[in-house]
Amino acid sequence: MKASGSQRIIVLVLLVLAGMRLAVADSEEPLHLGIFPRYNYTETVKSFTPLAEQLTRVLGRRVELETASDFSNFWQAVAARRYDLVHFNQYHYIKAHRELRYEVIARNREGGSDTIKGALLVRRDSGIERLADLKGKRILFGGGRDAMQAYILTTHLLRRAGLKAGDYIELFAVNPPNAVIATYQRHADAAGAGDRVLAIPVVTERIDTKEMRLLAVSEAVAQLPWAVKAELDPALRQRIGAALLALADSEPGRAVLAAARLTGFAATRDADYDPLRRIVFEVSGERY
Amino acid sequence: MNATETTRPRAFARRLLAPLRVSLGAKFLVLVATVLVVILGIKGALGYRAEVEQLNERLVSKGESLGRFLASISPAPILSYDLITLDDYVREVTRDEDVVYALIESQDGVAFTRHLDRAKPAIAPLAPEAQGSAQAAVAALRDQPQLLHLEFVVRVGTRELGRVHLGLARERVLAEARRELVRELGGSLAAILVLGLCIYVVFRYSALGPIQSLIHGSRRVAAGDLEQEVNVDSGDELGRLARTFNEMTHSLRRSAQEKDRILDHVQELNKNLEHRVEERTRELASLNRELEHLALHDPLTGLPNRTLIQDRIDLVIRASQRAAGHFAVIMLDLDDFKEVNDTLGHNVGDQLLVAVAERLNRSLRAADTIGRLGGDEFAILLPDADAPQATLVARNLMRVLSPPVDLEGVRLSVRASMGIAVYPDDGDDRVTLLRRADAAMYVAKQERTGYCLYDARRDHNQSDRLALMTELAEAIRGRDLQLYYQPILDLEEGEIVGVEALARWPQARNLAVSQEVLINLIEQTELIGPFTTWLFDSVARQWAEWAAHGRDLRISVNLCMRNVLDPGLCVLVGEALRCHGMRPERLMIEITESTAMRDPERVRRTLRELADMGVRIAIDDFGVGYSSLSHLSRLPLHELKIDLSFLKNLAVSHLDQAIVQSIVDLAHNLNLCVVAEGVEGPEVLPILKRWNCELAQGYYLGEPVPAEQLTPYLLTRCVLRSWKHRTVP
Repeated sequence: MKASGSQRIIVLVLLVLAGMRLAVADSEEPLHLGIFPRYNYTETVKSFTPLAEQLTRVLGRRVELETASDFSNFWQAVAARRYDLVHFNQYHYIKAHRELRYEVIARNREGGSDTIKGALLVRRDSGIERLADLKGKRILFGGGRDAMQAYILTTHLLRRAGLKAGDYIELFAVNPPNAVIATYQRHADAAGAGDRVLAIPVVTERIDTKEMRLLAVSEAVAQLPWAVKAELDPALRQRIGAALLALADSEPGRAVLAAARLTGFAATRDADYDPLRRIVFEVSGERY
Repeated sequence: MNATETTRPRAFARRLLAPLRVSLGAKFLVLVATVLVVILGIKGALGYRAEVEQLNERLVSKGESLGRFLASISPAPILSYDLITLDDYVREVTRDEDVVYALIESQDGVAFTRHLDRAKPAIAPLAPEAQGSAQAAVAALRDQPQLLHLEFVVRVGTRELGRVHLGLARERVLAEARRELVRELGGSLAAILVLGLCIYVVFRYSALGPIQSLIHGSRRVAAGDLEQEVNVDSGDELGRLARTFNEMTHSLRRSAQEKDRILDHVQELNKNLEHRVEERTRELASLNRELEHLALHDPLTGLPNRTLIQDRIDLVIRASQRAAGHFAVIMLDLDDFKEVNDTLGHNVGDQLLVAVAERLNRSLRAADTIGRLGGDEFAILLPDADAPQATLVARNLMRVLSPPVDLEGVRLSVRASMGIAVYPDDGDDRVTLLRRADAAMYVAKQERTGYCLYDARRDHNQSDRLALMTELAEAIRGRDLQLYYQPILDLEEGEIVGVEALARWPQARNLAVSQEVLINLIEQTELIGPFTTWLFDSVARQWAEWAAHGRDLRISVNLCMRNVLDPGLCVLVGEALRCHGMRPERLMIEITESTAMRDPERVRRTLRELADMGVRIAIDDFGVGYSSLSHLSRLPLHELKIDLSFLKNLAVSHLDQAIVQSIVDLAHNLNLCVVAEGVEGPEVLPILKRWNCELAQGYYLGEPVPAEQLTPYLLTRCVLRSWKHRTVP
């Protein structure tokens, strides 16, 4: 999906503003922090700006927050290795690790958990009781085919249930909440999303979540990763990792985490995503 | 329809319009306000309608803009199932104040998102279902005709992705229109007020002000103020009216000034008239007082007259009746006043009355009243006085009157007789008291005692003069009076040549009435007419009788002043003479000196007429009265009779002798015959003969006797001596 001209302009303006705010005293090149469009643009910037500022203070080097209006635009920036520190999904990581030499240094801890699960959701009145009942149905995935929770993990469930590509109609929403909402609105028969999507306020504010139910939940995989370029100064890499992990230890750090809707960071190695590499391979045949 | 039915609507209309009976300014304000309000109403209605249309068009335009915009941005979210974004879109759209709901649905009618602003006031009354789910509420609202429903197609290229539905409420538009209407009306109202105020101010200063000035001017004129003008400078009709009003005021002022001038003149005339009336009133009052005084007072003495004294007596009677008191009345009459009048004239008599009145008045108490009843008769009222006190007063009055009075060189002794009557012993009414005081006075006069208390036992003598006069009148008519004749002898021949006729009333009741009383009664009453007729008739008849026996005597008859002044006297005398054939020269008319001098001219004319008839004239009682020889010389006299008072002491009194001789000489010088009266003895006869006195009469020569006694002697022509020694029957 391509970004429109106006969206690009907005991103550009936000980047300029962020650069202005993060201007520091030293004359070193700023660190580029890329945040995947987990939320809309405003929410993403608003949520992670405190973290960028905190990192700037801790690292003594300006950290510029950058994001994109959608995954496509964001991936283009990743592919261009624009970001020194990048926060994206698991699929993006294993792909960027293999192809773009990014290495994970930490992962999210959300709601106290540092793992995630994908889930397929249906309306309670849809009459769908098993995964097999989705055959021939319209499944609306919350994100593209690279969406870890909404597509890869849920497709992995479908595959395990014996449904192959073509046994059902794939539809893609812009994100998991929309997939759930659209399913609730009867634009699809099932939604592919995370297992906690029904607790997200944007969803609870718009639909009666009691009308929805989880049809199937995937195995757990590591939470969303934070990776740095492989060539980044190891000391800096360590400082960044330490800074992230230390946030949960102080009140200001917890405030930064709260703004980013996180409860902390977990120290992470690349091997923590090997299960994910297997699932991707089983779903798409891609090997990372 | 009768008149009552036709008047009822008029009365109702009057009652309905009664509140409109206000000032011209208020009416004008009401009219202007009404016109402006009507204009405002029409303008407001039209404006409201146009505003609603305009706002509706704006609403539609806004709705279309929103809808088109929403449709234009919806394809991407629809294609990406970004329902949250679509939801944000519709939420954003419904934030518009007019948008009630927004709905984006798929081509097959499945909603992507819908939003309903439940806070919009237009929802509740329009859709009860709006209280339910948004889906049901929007479904209900889409059927509401009160909302503006707009629908837009979402398309990408030629592919239709869905439709956008918007519902807009007209309420705000209407409210805005109403607010605009209110603002408009408010502005218009303010404009009306300002305009009306301006119009009123203009009207106030250009019309009401002059009208008020004219009203105030009219009120001033009505109040009589014509000095101030109405100050209206405008050149319009009101200005012309004001100028006309001022001209009218000027005219009125001139008229008022003229009127004031006339009124002043009239007032001056009135003042003069009032002054003159006051003067005349004062004069009249003075004259009235004077008349009243004259009516109640004697003009000669200034004393109360009979009327006033009678009133005073009546007052004192009433007071005494209330207090059981008493008082006295004194009747006073001067003695011999007639002689004073006869001899000294009425002028002296009047002066004597004045002098007596002053003496009496001075001697009385302040509470006493003295009044003049007439002639020489006075009445004195003594309040609270009894008989002894009245007697003391009478004695005092006698003492006061005793000094002689000097009048015109003559010293007169004054005596008075007073009768006293006391209330209530002698009478309890005025008439009785006065009559009895009068009776007592006559007793005093007869007895010459000066005063006398009323004594009922002696009242029969003077009992009633009215009764006496009645009897006298009857006596005259019944010829009960009798003439006595006293002989008049010729001294030379010793023969009776004439007689003097003297009236007697021998049949008068009780006592013979004296000659003096008889003559007074006759002279003071209307009896004198019949008496005089009787007198001359009797004398003429007697002469004729004697003449028939050969005795041609002359008969002397006394006339009083009233006889002389009687214009019918000559006719009466001539009638008597002709009736009995008596020769006029045998009738001798005697008048006293005082009578001759009372009214000389009239006396002279009467005597001349008698003399022309042949009647002879004599002056009686000559020598004791006052007379003018020059006047006597002009009278047609033939004889002069010397008063008997000169004969009484003639033999021994040289003075009397001188007087008598002088009188005889005077008479002879005037070619008059002389008669000596009062010859009461023979001693005077030689004297009288020596002085050539022709005639004499007196008791010595013969007292008055009835004719039948005298006739025998007359027929025998007896001489004086034989007559003197006759036997009187």
